[in-house]
Amino acid sequence: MHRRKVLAGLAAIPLLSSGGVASAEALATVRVDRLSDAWSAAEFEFEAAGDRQPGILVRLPQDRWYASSMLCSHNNCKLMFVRDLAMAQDSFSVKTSTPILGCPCHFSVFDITQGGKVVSGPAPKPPFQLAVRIADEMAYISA
Amino acid sequence: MKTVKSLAFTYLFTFCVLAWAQGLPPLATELDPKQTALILVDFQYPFTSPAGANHRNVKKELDEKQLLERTVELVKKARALGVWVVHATEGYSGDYRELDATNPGGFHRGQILRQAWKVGSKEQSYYEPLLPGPADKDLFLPPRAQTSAFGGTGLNETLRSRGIKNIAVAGFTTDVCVYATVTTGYDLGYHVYALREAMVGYFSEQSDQMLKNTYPMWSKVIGNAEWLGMVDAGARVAQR
Repeated sequence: MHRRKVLAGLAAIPLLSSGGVASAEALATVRVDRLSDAWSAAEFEFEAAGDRQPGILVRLPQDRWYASSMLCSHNNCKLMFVRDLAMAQDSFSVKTSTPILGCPCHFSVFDITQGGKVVSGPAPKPPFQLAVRIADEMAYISA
Repeated sequence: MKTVKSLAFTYLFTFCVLAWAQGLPPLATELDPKQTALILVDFQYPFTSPAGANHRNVKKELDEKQLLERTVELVKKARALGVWVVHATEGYSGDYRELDATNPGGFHRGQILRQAWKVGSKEQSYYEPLLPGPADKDLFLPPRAQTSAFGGTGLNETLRSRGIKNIAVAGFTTDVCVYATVTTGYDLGYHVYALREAMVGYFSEQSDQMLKNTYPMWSKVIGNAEWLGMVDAGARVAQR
């Protein structure tokens, strides 16, 4: 199956906060030195409203970043980061020129180049969006 | 005059027949445990373990109902009363060869995408507190790919051969596999008891609506204690 292609896009390792104002406000910190290519990504965990949940950080083209919860806004299934465009078309029935987030439960698709906008499927809204600040090879991720 | 009397008699007779035809026999208030099975649907790691892939979908209702703890108690009592406990599980071969990945229905496509529920994996493992002890005669059905516990498991043939007439259904989830099991059971002629306190929904609000509006068409929606009370009453009758 295509599982390996999905996992291949996930590289970096979440780290503990290293002090300072930025890290004190951050829900999570992620090293970005291994996210040098566009569409490279890292999964991390963060806590929101007492709930520990998975998140994803993606390096977009032109040094932009995307971060959000990895839970589908439809019914909390864990999303998949799909870099393989053919897989996005075959498995999620969307023609796309960029990687997507897709839900394997009810096949909602989210456009990460547009803030997680719902492209198709029953999800009512984007996944919970997170803010990213980069400093010293670290991504500080906050609500 | 004779014709008038004859017509009146005919009308009266017809009315009586219609009135009789509209009446129904009373429903059972007791269940013979020897004719009763408790079917537990998919008490497996993805739902029951906090680390499971589907746990988040069911956690709220699971916690509110204290479902796992209460189901363990329910099963202990059912076994003690002589009810046959049947465990239905979901599971697929390592490469999903039994599934049609081109089926436009999304259920199996999603399982393949997530590489989920492979037989023998941790993710397919059973909720340990419900496993039968050495003296228990529970039945474990072969892992199934279908939504209904009757699908491809031989459950119907097995229940028939044991003279089972009543089935109680519990587990995961109210709106998917439990529902499929309830409707199939009804279609096969079983008297179905839907144990509302022992099932949770994938979509909780939808499941509440289904229990109120849809389930009563195919089953008696009932609490654990009330159902056990019916079996207890049936056991007493059988002992006389």
